[in-house]
Amino acid sequence: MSRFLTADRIVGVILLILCCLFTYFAFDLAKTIPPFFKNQPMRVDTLPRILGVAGIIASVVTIIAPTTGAKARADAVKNADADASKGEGASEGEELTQAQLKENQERMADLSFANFGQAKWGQLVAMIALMIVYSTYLRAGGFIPSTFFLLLLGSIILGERRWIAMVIVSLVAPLAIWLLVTYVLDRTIPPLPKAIMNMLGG
Amino acid sequence: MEGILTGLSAAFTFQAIALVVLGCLIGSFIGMVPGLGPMQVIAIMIPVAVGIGDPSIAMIMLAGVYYGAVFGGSTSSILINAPGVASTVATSFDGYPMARKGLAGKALTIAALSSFAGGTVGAILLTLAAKPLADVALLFQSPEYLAVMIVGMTAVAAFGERGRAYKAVLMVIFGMILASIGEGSQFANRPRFTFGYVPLQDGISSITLIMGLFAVPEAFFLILDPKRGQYKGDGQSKEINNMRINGKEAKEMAPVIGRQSILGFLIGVMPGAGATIASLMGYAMERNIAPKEKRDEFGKGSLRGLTAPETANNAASTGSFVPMLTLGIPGSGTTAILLVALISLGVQPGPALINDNPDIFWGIIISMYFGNVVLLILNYPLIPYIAKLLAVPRTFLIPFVLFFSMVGAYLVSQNPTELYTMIVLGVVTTLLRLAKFPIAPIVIGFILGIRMEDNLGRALTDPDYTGFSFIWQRPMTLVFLLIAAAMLLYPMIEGRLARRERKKARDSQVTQD
Repeated sequence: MSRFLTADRIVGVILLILCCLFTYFAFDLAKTIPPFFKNQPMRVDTLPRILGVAGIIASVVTIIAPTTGAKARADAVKNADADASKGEGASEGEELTQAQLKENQERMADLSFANFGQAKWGQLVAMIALMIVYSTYLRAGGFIPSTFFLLLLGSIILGERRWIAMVIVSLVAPLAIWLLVTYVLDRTIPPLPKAIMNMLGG
Repeated sequence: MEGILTGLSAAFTFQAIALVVLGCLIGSFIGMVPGLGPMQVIAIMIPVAVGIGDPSIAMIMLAGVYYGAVFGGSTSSILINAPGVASTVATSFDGYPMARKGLAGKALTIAALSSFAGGTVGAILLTLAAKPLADVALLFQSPEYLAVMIVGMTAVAAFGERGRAYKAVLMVIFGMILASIGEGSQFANRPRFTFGYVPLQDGISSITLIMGLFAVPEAFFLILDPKRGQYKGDGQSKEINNMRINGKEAKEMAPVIGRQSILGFLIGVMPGAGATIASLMGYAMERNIAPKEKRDEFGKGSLRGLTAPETANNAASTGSFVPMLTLGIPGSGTTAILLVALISLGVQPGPALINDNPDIFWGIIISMYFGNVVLLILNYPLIPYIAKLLAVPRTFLIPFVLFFSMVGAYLVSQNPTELYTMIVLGVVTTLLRLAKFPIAPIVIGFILGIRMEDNLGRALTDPDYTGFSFIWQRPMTLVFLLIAAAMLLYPMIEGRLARRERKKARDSQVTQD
């Protein structure tokens, strides 16, 4: 990560583009307003226009705000968090708290752009693909079979190979959740594939 | 008084009691799983709450889930040094060393008692503060509402990340932009920004939004980083034996509890400064005012060091209900999610809540006392057994979190679009979190967005004012807006000053070395 191209700025630029688009559509909205409503003090596009402009300002501030390199910034965040913990008049012997904080912050911290490379991106992409497939075929495939495959394939993607446990869990969970949804929450989700449901006359 | 009775009658039905108990159990179980905190647990439980239908009972259950999750987080902090959420990080400072000394049982007792005391004192203060505050809020008209919402939003931004308030502001605006899609506001008499795509006409469902913002990214992070949330302890959960504490220890705890419950509550009331800040501040404060020999114990299993964050964090959790219940303004991610639940149940939050739905208002408050008691007498003896279940392998945990999120979003309208929206939001949020942008402001902006539009509309169309003249025609509005501006600008200036100070300090340190 270079000194000027920080994560903040990348996100800032993306959001700036989105806010510009949004602002364009917000101002474009006026065209659809019938003449009678045009002179109202509050129109369908009043707040969107304000939001669009405010969003552009906020993203520009995010982009131009001074950053002193990613590392210094990370330190600054840590220090700021440590500051927050000091309370009133913290003074001697606070190194301990700081060290603890640092350790815990490291553990709690999200991944950052810094350790991008070590992350399991392949697993994530596979999982997202699986979620999209599940979303698309949930209705046609029926709740129980679809969920069975979701849970089973999900575990496989993450590297689980205890087959018996996986099959049992993936079978029992959809059944239990389906019963819960149907009889406790009183909502209908077709449990079986559409073709079979049709044959059953459902 | 009458209100309290209403609350009692709402909370003391068989169904409500059973659901608080169930909620506390589910909450503490899931809350113990490293990585899953109150926000994720409540998000996943909202569809269940909506399924219950009766808003007061559903909210009482969710409140139970919340306390349970906070409590569960403390348990895993103490036993395996794995704080599930940031607000229990301070608990692990002294809780885990205590457990390592073989005093796990004692540490759990101290945590349970402190939580109970903090939560109960918080609930009492909330009971006292809620009614007068709601009465004041009832005097508000649209301009004041608008101004108070702006204050709430800026406070969230200001307290969020020191010196980087603009990132939070950007996120609030992002949330409001998401809220403006579809026909949400009464002044949006035609669907906006749907680009002719019919499923978007109703806008993004708030349930889908919170699943996409909180539950899904958490699962994604667990996938990306296999070490995430895993503990650095010695790999063994501690043997839990003697859970008793003696009179001397109780005497040492008492003043700490007294101070921290009030301080924690006050911190919790401020929007944006929630349980995490309260617990860290409480820890640091007790450490500083402790006598020398006691101070040295901090970090090595100090009784005060465990009592302080546990008390403060629970009192602050309760305190954060004050702006939520009286003004309908969420001060934290968790209360924002609870507000989503309330709205999904068809209840309009705001100052009118106390009069229109006293059963919900007081029911939630009463359920706090009740939830605290349930945690103390029911969950606490079960801890040793629940703790054994902690080791759910991530290969099973992650698919389940994703599955629950998807079922929850799907139940909203049984439309795959909800799921696609959720996945997109999940990916976007994951990227935002990678870049260290705060996420809670998005949901706060989303919830307040539509209501802000309504109030802005009412203020603008009010014949008493021309255009934006309500800003100076109503002094209260002006004061609120000035407060908001001050809050927004102060941290930016302060951040710059602090950075300069720190740089100076660092330079002098270098020369010393």
